[in-house]
Amino acid sequence: MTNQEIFDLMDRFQRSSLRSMKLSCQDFSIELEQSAPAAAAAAPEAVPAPAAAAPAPQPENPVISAPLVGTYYAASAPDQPPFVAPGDRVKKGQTVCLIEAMKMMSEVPAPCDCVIEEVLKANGALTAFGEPLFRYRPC
Amino acid sequence: MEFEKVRDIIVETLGCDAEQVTPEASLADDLGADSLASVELVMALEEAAGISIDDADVAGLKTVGDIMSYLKAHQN
Amino acid sequence: MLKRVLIANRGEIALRVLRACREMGIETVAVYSEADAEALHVQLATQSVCIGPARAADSYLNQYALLTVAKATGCDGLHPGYGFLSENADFADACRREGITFIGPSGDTIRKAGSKSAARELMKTAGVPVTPGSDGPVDTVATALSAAERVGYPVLLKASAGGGGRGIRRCDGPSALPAAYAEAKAEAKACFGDDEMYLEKLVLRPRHIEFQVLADRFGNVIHLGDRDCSVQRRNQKLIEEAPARCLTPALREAMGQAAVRAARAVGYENAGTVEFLLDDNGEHFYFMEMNTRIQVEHGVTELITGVDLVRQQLRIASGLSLDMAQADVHLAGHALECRINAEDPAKNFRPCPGQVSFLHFPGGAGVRVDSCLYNGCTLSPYYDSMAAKLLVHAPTRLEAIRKMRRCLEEFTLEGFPTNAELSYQILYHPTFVRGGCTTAFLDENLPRLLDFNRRLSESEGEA
Repeated sequence: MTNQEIFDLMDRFQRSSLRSMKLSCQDFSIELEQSAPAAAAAAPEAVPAPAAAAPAPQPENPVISAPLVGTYYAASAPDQPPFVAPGDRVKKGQTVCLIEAMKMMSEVPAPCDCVIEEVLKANGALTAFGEPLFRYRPC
Repeated sequence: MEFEKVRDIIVETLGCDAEQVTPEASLADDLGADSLASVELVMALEEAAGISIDDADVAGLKTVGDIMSYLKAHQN
Repeated sequence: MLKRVLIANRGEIALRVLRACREMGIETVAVYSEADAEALHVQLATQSVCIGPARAADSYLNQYALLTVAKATGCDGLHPGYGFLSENADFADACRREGITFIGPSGDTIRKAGSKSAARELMKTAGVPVTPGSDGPVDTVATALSAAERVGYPVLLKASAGGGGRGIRRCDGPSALPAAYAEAKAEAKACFGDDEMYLEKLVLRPRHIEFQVLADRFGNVIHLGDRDCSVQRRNQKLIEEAPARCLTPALREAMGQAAVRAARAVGYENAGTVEFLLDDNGEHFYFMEMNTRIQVEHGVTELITGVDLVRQQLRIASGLSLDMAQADVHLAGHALECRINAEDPAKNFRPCPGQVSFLHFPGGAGVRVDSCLYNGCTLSPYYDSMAAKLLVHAPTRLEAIRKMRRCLEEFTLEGFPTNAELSYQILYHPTFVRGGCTTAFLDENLPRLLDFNRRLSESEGEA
């Protein structure tokens, strides 16, 4: 095999989805391996997910999102029980959590009578403006 | 500044050929310098010679020879 | 060194700061409004946090939100960029109170330098020449009239808290003064919430020359040469260059020293700019104002000095002393900057941001582009309309002008109109090429430049 043929072979192998290949003829043998078969490698490098709190995929149920940026608190005080837990039924305007910004506490109200499906934030975590805090089911 | 240096500045700024740049050559007629090109040539000469040429004097610089004598007279 | 810096700004300056931080191993926290969620620097920062809706007052000007994020994400420094809160003394103090290093001067220095009339007094005592004017504010029309009489018309009525060309009125005689005074006062109240006015002699057809200064916490103050920003429309800069061609070495030395004295007079720290007016025959220069922030056009100074100004800001804010003395600063070659704004010169420069359907930036030797644009991005209408800055550096001014012409020809942006074509025409105007522009240049030549611009496009249409 001439060099050119070998290069063509290597090139074709690289673009194939084969993981390994062995070829031998009278006076010559060659073994080729590649970790990521071409098909996988060909996929464009996925753009790293932006570090930003990307808006959650369209939730099935609506969400209560943070009306301001600050620290999320599930309860009125560290020793107090959380305002709400999954499954709780809450009235429109009832406080579901607090957000603290520069020592000022803001109460986040439920937008309507509803049942809290899921709590999306950990107590004491920084929440961005507009970030989903709870998923709920209107009732 | 010797003639060769001035010639090279003219060649580069006006985009003409070195052979055309003779003391008698007129900037406008022989070397094809329009009004903007001559403004740019004055700028290039000022920056190379480190001098400032008054706008009033610029009008008098019609030929390569004029430029040479002006530079001889005004270079510090 | 600072470990993590909150970038309290957006657009190209946020990207500029982020890049300097990245090169120094400093982590960055980007804050953004909902309108900027897809911004380039938001994608590149170590961490990004949305802080509010599009309106600047609820996001980039929301001091509580900025400080909350800075503390919650463990930032030890905050870079205000330019505009927004960069010259807000209270915000600088608030950062310090929260143990966050405000990358800029102290609140007090900002107050001293920020109030135009207070700054003038300080400059006089520091031996920095100031334009003849009222000593301190003019609170009534009567005091304005007597001050104008003493100084001699024409005069400028200016808001103490003014900036960016707002709250300023020209007055050519006593009869016109009351109306001009009332108008300027009203505009100052509307724009800055502070209608304190002062009065200055109007230097006719001046050139706008500014000096970049750097000061650390150990009393070292140096200047990094000058910039000429005379090509401006209604006090909005369009083309800036460095160094200013009209300065003789002696004048540059005198103005540079005056700039250093001005910085010392207000106890300056970090990067700042001292603005001077140079009269038409280039003999007398007068202190105009001091900007206590990094400026949009800082890049031209970086190109001719080789100094990374944002890196210097981060070093100084980290408590390091300047790593160069005045003798180490050398100005090499010439640099030009064109601000590319999303505006339509043919429609009285109406801002018209939109989506970038296609973008090509020029490149090559001596070319620098500072911009947050990328193909497909949307320039939001909520903030200023600057889309990009094209900068060039070359051994001589003429080569820099020719390089910028080539760059503007190559620059392609589809999706909204820009002022690129207008800048291109200016670069062929003899007055500009000769370096003879004063601040009156653009307003005087705009009709002809725009007309030529329109005739050109029509002829291209017919061809």
